Amino acid sequence: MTTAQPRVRPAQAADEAAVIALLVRARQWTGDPDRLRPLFRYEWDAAVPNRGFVVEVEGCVVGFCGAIYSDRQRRDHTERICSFSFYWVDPEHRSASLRLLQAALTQPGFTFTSLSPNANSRAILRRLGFREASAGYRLCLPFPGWPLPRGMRLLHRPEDLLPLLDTADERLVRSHIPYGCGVHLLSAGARQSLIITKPRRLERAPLRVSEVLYLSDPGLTLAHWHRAAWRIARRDRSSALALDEGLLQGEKPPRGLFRARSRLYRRPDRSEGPIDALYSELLFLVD
Amino acid sequence: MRSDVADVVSSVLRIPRETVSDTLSMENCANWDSLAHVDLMVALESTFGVTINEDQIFDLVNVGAIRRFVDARGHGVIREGAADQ
Repeated sequence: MTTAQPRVRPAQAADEAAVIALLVRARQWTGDPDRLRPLFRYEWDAAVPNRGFVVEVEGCVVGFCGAIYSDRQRRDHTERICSFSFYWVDPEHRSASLRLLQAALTQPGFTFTSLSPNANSRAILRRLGFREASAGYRLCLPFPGWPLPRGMRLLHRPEDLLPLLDTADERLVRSHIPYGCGVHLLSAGARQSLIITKPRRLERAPLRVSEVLYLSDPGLTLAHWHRAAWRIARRDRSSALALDEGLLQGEKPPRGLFRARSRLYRRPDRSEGPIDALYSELLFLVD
Repeated sequence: MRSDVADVVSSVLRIPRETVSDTLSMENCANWDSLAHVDLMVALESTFGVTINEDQIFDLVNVGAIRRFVDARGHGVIREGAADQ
């Protein structure tokens, strides 16, 4: 066992191979290692100060706290999001685990999220002031055949819906299309709701599911959920939709199989509010 | 029986009481990882009736710092079970 002191420093692009090797060796990732490369390569319209933080001992990476940065345009400000992906330190260097987390969390001005924490991370982050964004999600199996009423439209083609969006939503659509996301615009009267989905396969079932990452108007979407869900699933070539309750902003969830899932967040002012799954999740959901 | 910081540290980290000194820290105790640290903060709060905020969690990473923190709030030594009364 080495006596060298672990050093915590920002992770950069040059750490890609070492970090991926660490996560695979530690069995924090059992899929195709190449699918972790976007952690170090993603590019969208947001400042990326680092790719997270690493613990290093004598030049070897022995710990990693992955961070994925993105922005959200709010009514009167830009919210800067730092979403944690992985948090791992080799057992013999766990003395540095808190310093690793501290390095990430002391970056000022960010809303921090952890959208798929394991039990240990959840316990730690909860003690550090993180809130639960939702209790879980609904797996909805849509039924076909419901016609859209007069005056209601559901657009799916980017060229059709982009001209109808405000600047912030247009930016979201343009950022997510390259990652295989579905984009859908439901409109009724003067209201419209942008719905961004990411089709993926379930881990233990031969089922393709569209994970809903974002709803711009939950009220409108849920009012017509049974009509929209089938069309969205069909467009995405999915059999079901997964809708996290944290996206609903207090609206009653639709019928569906409830599955518990922890999603954590902490805003700089510790305020409550909706948390979406844009940007960060799309790096990991398998299509 | 009286309980103090060393007893709490020993109990949470599952190490012998006699190995707990003010220099014991996350850096030199294999059992003291981030999850154990959270357990320790919770145990200190319930045992001594102190409140540890999010920033202080990152500072209380050795027994000396914890002892000074608890002593400064007048809870350095308490009777066993006092937190339950």
